[in-house]
Amino acid sequence: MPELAELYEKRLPLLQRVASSLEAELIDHFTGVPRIDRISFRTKGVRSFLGKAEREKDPYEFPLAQIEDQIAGRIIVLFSADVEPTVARLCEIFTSVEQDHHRPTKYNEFDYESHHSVHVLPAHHKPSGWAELEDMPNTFEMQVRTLFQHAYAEPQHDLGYKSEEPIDDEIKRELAWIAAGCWGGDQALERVRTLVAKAG
Amino acid sequence: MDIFRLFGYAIEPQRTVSDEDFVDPEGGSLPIRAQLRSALSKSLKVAEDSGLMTQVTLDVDQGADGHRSSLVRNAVIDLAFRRGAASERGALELARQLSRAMDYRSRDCLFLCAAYREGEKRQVALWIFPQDEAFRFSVGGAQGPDIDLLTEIFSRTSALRKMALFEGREISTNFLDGRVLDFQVGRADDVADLWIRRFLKARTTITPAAGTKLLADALKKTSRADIPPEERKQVLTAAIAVNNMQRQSWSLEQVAHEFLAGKAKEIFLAAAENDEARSAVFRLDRPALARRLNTRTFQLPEDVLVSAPINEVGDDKVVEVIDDTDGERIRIEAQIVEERLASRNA
Repeated sequence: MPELAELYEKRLPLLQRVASSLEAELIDHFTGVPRIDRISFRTKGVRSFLGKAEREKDPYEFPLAQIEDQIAGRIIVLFSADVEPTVARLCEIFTSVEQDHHRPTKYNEFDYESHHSVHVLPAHHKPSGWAELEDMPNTFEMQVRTLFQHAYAEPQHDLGYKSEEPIDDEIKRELAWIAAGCWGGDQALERVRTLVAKAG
Repeated sequence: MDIFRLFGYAIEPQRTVSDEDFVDPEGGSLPIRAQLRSALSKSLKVAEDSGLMTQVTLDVDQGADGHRSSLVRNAVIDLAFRRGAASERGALELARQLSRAMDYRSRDCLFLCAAYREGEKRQVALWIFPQDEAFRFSVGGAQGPDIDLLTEIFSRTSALRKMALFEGREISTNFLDGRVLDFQVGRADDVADLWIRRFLKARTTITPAAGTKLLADALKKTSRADIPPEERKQVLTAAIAVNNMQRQSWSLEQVAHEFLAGKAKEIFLAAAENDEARSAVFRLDRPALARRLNTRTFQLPEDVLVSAPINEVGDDKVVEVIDDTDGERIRIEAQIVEERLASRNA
């Protein structure tokens, strides 16, 4: 899709400006909020965008207007109890149109876990030139997760989700073991935090 | 875009009416005559050029199938993309919702829903024009000059008119937000909530937290700029007044118009990225504004800096500002509570 690639490349500098501006705003609002490890934004790369736009299952009719993670941000918190108040604070800053806590559905499954939300891009973040381009994104995505959830999600994203070949069961088992370890880590950290708070 | 559908309803307030007693608003599809097409197009242009449009986000529910749904979003999409009866059902659903949102404090009004198209994109403009009275005066009749009182009219230019504009394709990422014209936004009572909260079930996209930061940043940027002393005073007055006035909501345009002039006004407005951001109304978060603008800093000769809490500057305060013939001076006479060495940030 050379035309789509060209159109996406053309908008990329504007997307990058918006990503920086959203990041600066969030960092400002979370200044002084304890237990925030980091706040970062990124724009989707051209290859990644085209990959998503050309997916076979449930294809996009208007990918430039429909793909919502062209701009995406992430807040990493220290403890699992910090996720909920962080999401609440985030929604005080940007109006949200979707909330979804990704987690395995079965009690004996361990896999990717993270809070995802979609927010409407406010007018004050749209740089000059934005209105002149067709089908600019109306929304951006956010993820809020713990350090342990991040420790699983990032390598898993590269090793598993992005792999073109079907994943071997043994590898899936290893990944599930890592996810379980991270889940256990979060639980243990939460218990320690509660004990320390009680002792203090 | 070209108008291709128009619906009109006479709306009576029924906010306190029970479901059993609720009466559907009367109206339906309207012919699009050239004169009306031109009048609506003019009203739309006036609204868009007014610098008073505010971005709002609809409160949507997420269905299991991923469909983003709200009564207003669904009805607007039906009105714009469906044909025949389904399109009219969308318009009637909006008329019902408006009637349910209005109480005895609102005047009866004309509700117009206009749909425009260009390729696969649609635009929907929702208008309310309040009922009004007018005189018709004629001088050329056989009986001499005459005057009639017209009561069944709706004012196209009333300050009580309201508008909401939605635009996009029929996809999950569009028709989530729109732009609204409502001269009553900012009033301290809940009349201001009629159009955005009660009818559209929406919120201003620039949240109180984000809007207050935008305002504080613009005021700080202006106060740091090279502007005449009288304009600097205006900036200070704006910072204090906005926080103390009863009014709940502001846009940067409104603050600029109310308090600033000259270069200060120019710099203040330029702090926002675009016209939409300058005109967008947001509810003020007063504690946040007080936190963000809590210090006044004075640069004195010999690189001396004096910094004081904003509320401790003024007559009979720790820091007094005195108007002198050579300009402003400050006077401080207070006990030193603590003294320390520090390095100054660049």
